[in-house]
Amino acid sequence: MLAAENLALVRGGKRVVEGLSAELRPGTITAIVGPNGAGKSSLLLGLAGLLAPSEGSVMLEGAALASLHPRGRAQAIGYLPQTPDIAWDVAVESLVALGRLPWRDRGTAAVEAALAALDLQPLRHRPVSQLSGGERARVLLARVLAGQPQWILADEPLAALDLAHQLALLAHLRGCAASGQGVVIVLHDLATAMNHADRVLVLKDGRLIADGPPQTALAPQVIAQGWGVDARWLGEAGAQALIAGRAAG
Amino acid sequence: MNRASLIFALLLAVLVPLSLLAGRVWINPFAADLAPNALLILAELRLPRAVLGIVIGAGLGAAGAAMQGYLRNPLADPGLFGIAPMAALGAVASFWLGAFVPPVLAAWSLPLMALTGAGLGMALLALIAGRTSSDAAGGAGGGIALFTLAGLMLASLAGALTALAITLAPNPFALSEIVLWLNGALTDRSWREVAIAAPLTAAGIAVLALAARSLDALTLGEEAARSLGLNPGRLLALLVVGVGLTVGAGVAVAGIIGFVGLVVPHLVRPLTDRLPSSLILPSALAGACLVLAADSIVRIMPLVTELRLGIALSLIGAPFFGWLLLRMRRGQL
Repeated sequence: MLAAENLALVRGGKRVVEGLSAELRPGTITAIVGPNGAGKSSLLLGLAGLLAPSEGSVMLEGAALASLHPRGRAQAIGYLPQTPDIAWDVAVESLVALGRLPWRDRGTAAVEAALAALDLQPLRHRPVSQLSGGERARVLLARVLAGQPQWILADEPLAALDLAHQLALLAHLRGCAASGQGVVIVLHDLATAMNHADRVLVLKDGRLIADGPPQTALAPQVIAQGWGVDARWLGEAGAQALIAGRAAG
Repeated sequence: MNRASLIFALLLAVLVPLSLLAGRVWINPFAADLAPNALLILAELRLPRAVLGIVIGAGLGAAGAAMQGYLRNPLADPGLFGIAPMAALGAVASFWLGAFVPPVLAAWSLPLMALTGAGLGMALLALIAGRTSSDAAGGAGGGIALFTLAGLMLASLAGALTALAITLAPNPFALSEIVLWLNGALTDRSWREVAIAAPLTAAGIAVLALAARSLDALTLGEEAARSLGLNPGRLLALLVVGVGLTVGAGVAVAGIIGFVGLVVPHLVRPLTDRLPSSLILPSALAGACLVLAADSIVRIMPLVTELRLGIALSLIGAPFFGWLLLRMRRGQL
């Protein structure tokens, strides 16, 4: 269990998350959504233990995240930042192996499993500069998987991907959840959250305005409250599309 | 030991005997009767000079590799921390304070003052680092950039004070001594300088090696690195101490020798998997090769006075830097 208890976060001198409580369960995909500046990425950083709470706490299996050794925390929680930021033109295999740093071992089996899970074996010797956007996103996720964390926290992992790669990456994340890992992703696209998440947290101005299964947490009235937009859902469960009209009056 | 280390270790094994034989007086190891002073030249002049070249080059190479890894920038140089200019300032101060130093310490005053300058630079950086890393307890954003700017501030302050000390030099003799010394050289160095620089440099390289895996984590950016368990404060402390010891020791015994730390990691990188941890040891060996080779070349050049090593390396380094910039523009770095 990864739980925020009355969490408040301050970033750059500004309160970005306020009084937020939520218990996240392993084996599920939780989506964090909200308008720009709602505090989604900050919340993810807080849940990953990378932004210290100014009030409240984040608990991992009953222990405060802040009290864990950074390495222990890193073994339990894998974090995938939004912008792919790779300083050196290393080979795919070396980059994925960086996921083993918290364990201080080579973890060859785990690295191989991560490469296999994301179909990266044919690319293993290729320098990252020669990868397409979709391949790069898979490599960065494989880096997280190589650490075999209990929790995978990803900030807009679909942002740079085309539709087919988005679906492929979501299928991988679903596989991780099915194998018992907890998956928490920040999403911009509400339809993706509606169709692929088990639970949705809706943030506005740093506060939780809805929390629950996508059908209730992304109901039209919540969208009107959060984004100020009149919208309705079309299609059947699992393949719904959002039709946004005009600004909500 | 990786492939790059092996290559540069072999190169060094070839360069050392060549460097011992080369000079104004060439020594022919196969001659039936060695010149009577040949052994003296070898033991008292060339050997300490070669060892010192290896020590300083190794320190600068390792520090350069670590700095480029830390700043995630192939154009970074150990000089960016401002430790070398602070050490130079300390050394220049010793020309001023020479009159006040007790005679028993006179021979040691320059290296000791230079090391004091380097230590002061490290302490100031640690103070600034404490501030920036406490700010980074939450988001570390900007921590490294802020710290680099602090290093540049220190470098320009030390540079200005050194220039001031030169313009106000107590006498023309001191002025020429200061300027000559600042240009860096291994001329007339003895085992005394080796005894000062070698242990400090070895300790510095060992400290940088401890930082190697943390530098690898930084490949993915600061936030991802922290998510992998990186402790930014510890890494910064290791970097400041490691660079301080290697660069401070080098400046204390040989003056400012530029460009080695910038150039060497680029020679090494294509032979490795490009992660910072694979660069530190081979960069130390390649730095040793570069300084040893450059020093041997300046020694045999047919000039009236020996070309200063610091000047020679800058003459090679500046065009290399330009070539790097061009390659970066073409996206090849």
